[in-house]
Amino acid sequence: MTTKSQPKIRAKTESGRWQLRSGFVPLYVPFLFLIPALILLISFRYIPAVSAIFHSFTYWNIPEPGEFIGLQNYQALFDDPIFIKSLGNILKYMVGRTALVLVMAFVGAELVYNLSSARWRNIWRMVFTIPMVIPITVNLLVWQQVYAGRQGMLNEFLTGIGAMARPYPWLGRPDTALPALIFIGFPAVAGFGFLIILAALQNLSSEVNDAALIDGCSRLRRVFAIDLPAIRGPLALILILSLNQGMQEFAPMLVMTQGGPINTTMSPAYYLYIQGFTYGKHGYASAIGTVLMLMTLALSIFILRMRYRRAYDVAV
Amino acid sequence: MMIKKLSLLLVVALLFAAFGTVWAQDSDISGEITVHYQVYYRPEQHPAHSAIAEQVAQDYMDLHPNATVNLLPDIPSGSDYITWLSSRMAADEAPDIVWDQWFNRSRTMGTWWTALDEYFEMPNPYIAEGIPGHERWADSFAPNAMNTTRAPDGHWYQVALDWVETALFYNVAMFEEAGVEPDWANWGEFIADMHAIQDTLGVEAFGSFMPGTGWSTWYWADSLWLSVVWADRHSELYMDKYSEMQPDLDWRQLNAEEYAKAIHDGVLSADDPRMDDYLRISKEFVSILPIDYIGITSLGDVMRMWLGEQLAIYWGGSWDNKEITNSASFEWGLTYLPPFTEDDFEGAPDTTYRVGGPSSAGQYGIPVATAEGDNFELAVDFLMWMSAPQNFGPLANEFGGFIPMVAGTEVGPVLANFQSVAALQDRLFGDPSARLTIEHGDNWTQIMQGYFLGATNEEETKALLQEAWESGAAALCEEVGYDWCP
Repeated sequence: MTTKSQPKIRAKTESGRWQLRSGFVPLYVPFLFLIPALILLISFRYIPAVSAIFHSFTYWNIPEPGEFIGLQNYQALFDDPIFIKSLGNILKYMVGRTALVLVMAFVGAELVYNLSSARWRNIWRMVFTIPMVIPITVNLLVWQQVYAGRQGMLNEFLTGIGAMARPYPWLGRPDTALPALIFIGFPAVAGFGFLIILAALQNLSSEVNDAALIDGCSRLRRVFAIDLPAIRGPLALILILSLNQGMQEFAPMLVMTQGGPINTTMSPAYYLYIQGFTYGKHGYASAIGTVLMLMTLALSIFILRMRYRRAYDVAV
Repeated sequence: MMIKKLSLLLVVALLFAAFGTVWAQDSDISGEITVHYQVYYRPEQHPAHSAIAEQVAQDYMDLHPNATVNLLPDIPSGSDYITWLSSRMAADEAPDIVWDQWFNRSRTMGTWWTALDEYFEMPNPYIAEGIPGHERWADSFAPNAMNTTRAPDGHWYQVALDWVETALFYNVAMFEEAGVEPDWANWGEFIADMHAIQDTLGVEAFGSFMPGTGWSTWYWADSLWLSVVWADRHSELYMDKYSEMQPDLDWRQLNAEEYAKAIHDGVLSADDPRMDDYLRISKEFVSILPIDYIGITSLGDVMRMWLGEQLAIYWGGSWDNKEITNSASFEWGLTYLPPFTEDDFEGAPDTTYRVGGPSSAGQYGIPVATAEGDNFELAVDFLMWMSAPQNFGPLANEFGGFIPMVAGTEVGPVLANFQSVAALQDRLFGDPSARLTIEHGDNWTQIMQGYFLGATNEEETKALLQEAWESGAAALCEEVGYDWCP
């Protein structure tokens, strides 16, 4: 049997549409469409990143050009107690926030996934998704009122049920300010993580679940024995995104505490902002940004390597 | 006949020359500039006074047909102004006349701004004869505003056309219920009354806040407590060269160089017993604040607490006058902090000081990029025009939040509520961020937060404050390089 090779150039298909085939639409055309995105990416991502690395070796007083000072900014950075403290703060924040988001998103997704009624599953999915459209600043301002002093919602609730004798300044004390920021949005079900996990659970083969139930596996055991291992890929994705976001966290510190009290909520990203825009130390701020970028990169590579050590995972 | 003709020709020639010169002068001013009037030009939110700003610009363009003045609507409140301005400065795209706080300008000085010193010495042709400023522009500005806005390098990078005053807005019913009169003989009496309000009514007494970084009304308090404890040594803190510039001001706010020099010379030292009183007063003050005073991040939140009757006193300013008048659903009055007397501590000045200053909308400077471009002459000329009393006074009074300080302006009703405060002397110390560097201000805040929260004791706090003073003075020396710096 001989096979007839397809002609390189074809006219319209039967439906009348042009087929995008090699030889018909020139190969460079898709790249042309990518050019605007590439220009924006280079302009607003790569050039600033390279510029930050370059300026981290300079004394840069905008609008004057930077003056090369070698590694002085980095030396000063690692001697700076506030920066070191901010690293410790963000580590705690990152771990706490990621654990909260991951666990709660998984719990929320499992609860919705296990609903037998498709109608109710859709309703709950919508309920958990709608809060995502609320701007982050609005969310933070609402939570500022939750943590407020005498008239704060949390204080009113806790004093109302008799759990506390007097209101507590959650954002105004070093021991509670950072945990308060971690718990913003509690129960933290509504979010991107929830959607990813739910989608991953819904993609699992129903035969496996049915077989497990027939074999007498309880629902709880199924969650740990089947669901969790099966969705490790999506969980790794959420872990990377959450850790990366946590590492660069800025808005809660800016809106709710401004780094206080006594720098206990100072994050490297907020410190970068203050150094650059409040103190005008743009070279120093660039050094903070560079260190932050390298740390985020290292963390992402580490997590990805951990994940790909077991290549049988479900793809992300 | 010939003589008559010649005379006529001469008259015509003279007239032509005279009018021609005027015309030539006017037509010399040309170009196009953008002006950021700050809150004085918010056409959507405040059409009434924005219309006056537009008229000021239009009158100028009528006078100078070759000049174009574009007014830039103020960026929305709540926006990050310093980031907005930094980005434009970096790109040489800032407006040609632009607002900024004087202490920010003192940080960036000649790298961002054009020194206006030599123009201040020139006549302002738009100020009528007989009014200060006509012969020498600088004379139209208030001496205390000039003193405050002088940058650490000794130059002026801005004009200061208006001023704010602060006062204590109090809830009359709450005071009556607690049996408190809004008039105190000394600090001790005031603190006792504030505790009485807390204990009797179960509400917060005094509205002030102290976030981790940046400006807050705690800054005002801190500057007052330092001012009262160091008042008796004020003349030792002043530098002769500045005192000679302003011989009429025997009491004035310290500028950055004087502050740094006093630290360098050891006159200003945290080991001084005065700092014990400072720490005690500071701690007494925070005991009357809302429990989450460190967790509150904006003055607006404090005002809302007071308007919601969660607070007996709100420490605000002249800019709040309109909003409070419109929004308060209860009877309110204005008062001020008590004097500090010998009953409070030894050597007390028997007075208190006003917290006011040129932290208002009428603070304008010209970026370096404009000075290096073609429109600098137009920018300076329009700055002279907009600062003339007939142009600035009506604008400021229509807005009603700031007190116009240009000589020859009529002061509107806004000052009436603040007259007793305005009669007090200015603070000796400015806000922490305005003393040496902005970073020093944040450092000072964090040390004091540690003290208030019990993380450090008095001795440790004083050691940290001394360290902060020394490092702040050293940073300023490094930046400006005064001749006395080590």
